[in-house]
Amino acid sequence: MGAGMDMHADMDAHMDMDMDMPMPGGIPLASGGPDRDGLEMDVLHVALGPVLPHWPAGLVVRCALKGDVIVHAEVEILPAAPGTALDNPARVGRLPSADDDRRRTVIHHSDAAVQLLALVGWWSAAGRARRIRDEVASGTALAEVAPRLERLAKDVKRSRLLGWGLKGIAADTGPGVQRAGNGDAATARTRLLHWLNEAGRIARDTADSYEPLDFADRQRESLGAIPSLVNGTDVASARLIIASLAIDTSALTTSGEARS
Amino acid sequence: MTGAVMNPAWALLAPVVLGVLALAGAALNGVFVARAEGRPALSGAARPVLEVMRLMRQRRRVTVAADRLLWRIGGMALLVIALLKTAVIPLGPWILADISVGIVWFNAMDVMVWAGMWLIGWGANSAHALAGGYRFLAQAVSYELPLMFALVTPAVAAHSLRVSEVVDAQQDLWFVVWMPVAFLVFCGSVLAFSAWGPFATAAGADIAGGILTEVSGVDRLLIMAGRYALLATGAAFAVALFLGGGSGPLLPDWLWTIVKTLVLLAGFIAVSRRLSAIRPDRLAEVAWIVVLPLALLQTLVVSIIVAVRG
Repeated sequence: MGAGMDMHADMDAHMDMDMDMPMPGGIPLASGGPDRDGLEMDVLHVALGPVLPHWPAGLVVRCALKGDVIVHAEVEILPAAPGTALDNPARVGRLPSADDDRRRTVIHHSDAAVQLLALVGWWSAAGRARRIRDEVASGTALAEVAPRLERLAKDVKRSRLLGWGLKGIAADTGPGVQRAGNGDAATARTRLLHWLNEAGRIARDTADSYEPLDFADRQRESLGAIPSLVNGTDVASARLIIASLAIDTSALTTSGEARS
Repeated sequence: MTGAVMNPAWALLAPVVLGVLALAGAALNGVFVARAEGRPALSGAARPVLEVMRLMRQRRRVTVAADRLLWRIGGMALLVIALLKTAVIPLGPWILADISVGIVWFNAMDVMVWAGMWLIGWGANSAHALAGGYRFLAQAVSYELPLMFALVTPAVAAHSLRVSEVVDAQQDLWFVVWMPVAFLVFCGSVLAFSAWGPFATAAGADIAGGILTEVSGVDRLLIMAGRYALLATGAAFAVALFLGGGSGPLLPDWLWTIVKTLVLLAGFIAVSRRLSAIRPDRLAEVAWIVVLPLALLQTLVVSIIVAVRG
């Protein structure tokens, strides 16, 4: 069917009753495919991203959906502009210090927590994490926010509703990942708790015993794990899984540029 | 109190009262949001009014091949349904239509919410919106039966489906005292059919706003106002069914009704921000295995008490 016919299909639909393929609005209808229940389901192609609330900037996950279940996913990261001054403090005329690194890690962790808490609809907790993040970004002393991060971590850990809501949301990308205390596979909940605990610890400790942020390889590993993690989940669960990977797309795009 | 015939012209006042209550709810929510974001509370309280002005002027965005007719019907439905509910909700001594099946009328109206929410999701021709519409239906399958039994319980105790008689039957003891489970189930269901708080998954952030993803301008305004109106009518009906209607010392009946409604509405809004969302697939298990049997048990207990007392 040519492009010219596509344009006329909408207008002439009432005349061309013999057309075998209706094209509402010029969009072909979804084609069918076998479902896991043995039924035939429409397959819909939907791209998640690059712009969605609480979504890693520039990430695109092209999904094939049956109903709201993802049956196939491909990942892509759009090229990005150079990082901000905070990513590279040397640009604003001072040398990078250990404090900047700690600050950056706390921001990254609390940012990740904001995204996941917002996605699960726990707005008061997400708001608390966001305020902490903003204050750290605008220069509040880390020691000041540490007790608040610890309180937030405690509340999140204590919430049964959250634990129940995140139950079974797997986010294990491989051996390099932080696991739960007993060595179980990482889940969205264990990752959320890990971010908050780590952020609290880093904010409190002055020693530089923190996880370094130059983790482009681990980011790439997380990115590579998306298709298999989200396969067979519904869109909403996939959003939680991707949020719990806390992918830092800027780390990936800049390192990509450096290598090319 | 029973059987007072009212001039139908008073029906014109009902939307005004409902509008004020809905606006009060929205303002309170604005205050909570402002406080969470560290802004002055007053700016949050003014937010709904500014939002109304903004949405009234905003041009509608329309998606490709949207089902506009059904989309608009869905968008209007919530507010219309809330208005239709006010017909059987007593305000102190007054009630617009004290029909013999008032409780059934309320229930019929909240079943219509199913259609409204789903049409909002369907009409946009967008994957996220449609997922939101289906989510609401999945949630509705969980809350509707417990809600029906929660509605039946006061009717059993009052020997009547007429709302004014249910209110009269609470002169000695409010129903909330001896049917707390039914009251809690009803309150949860009000949040659920208003797609609010932990039950706002149809418009959840994890599906990019769900049914609200594509709505803009006046359509969005009607939907948001409709949700607040549904919350307000839900709170007002809970007052009539469980909290003794307008009974109370000193103040006139109608004022007590409004005070109690506002308190309950504030409770709905305050509790919502503190809880994370309950996804429909998780809710189904608890609703059918725990909540529904509890609601049935509550109805049974009340029925036995009523039968024994004669």
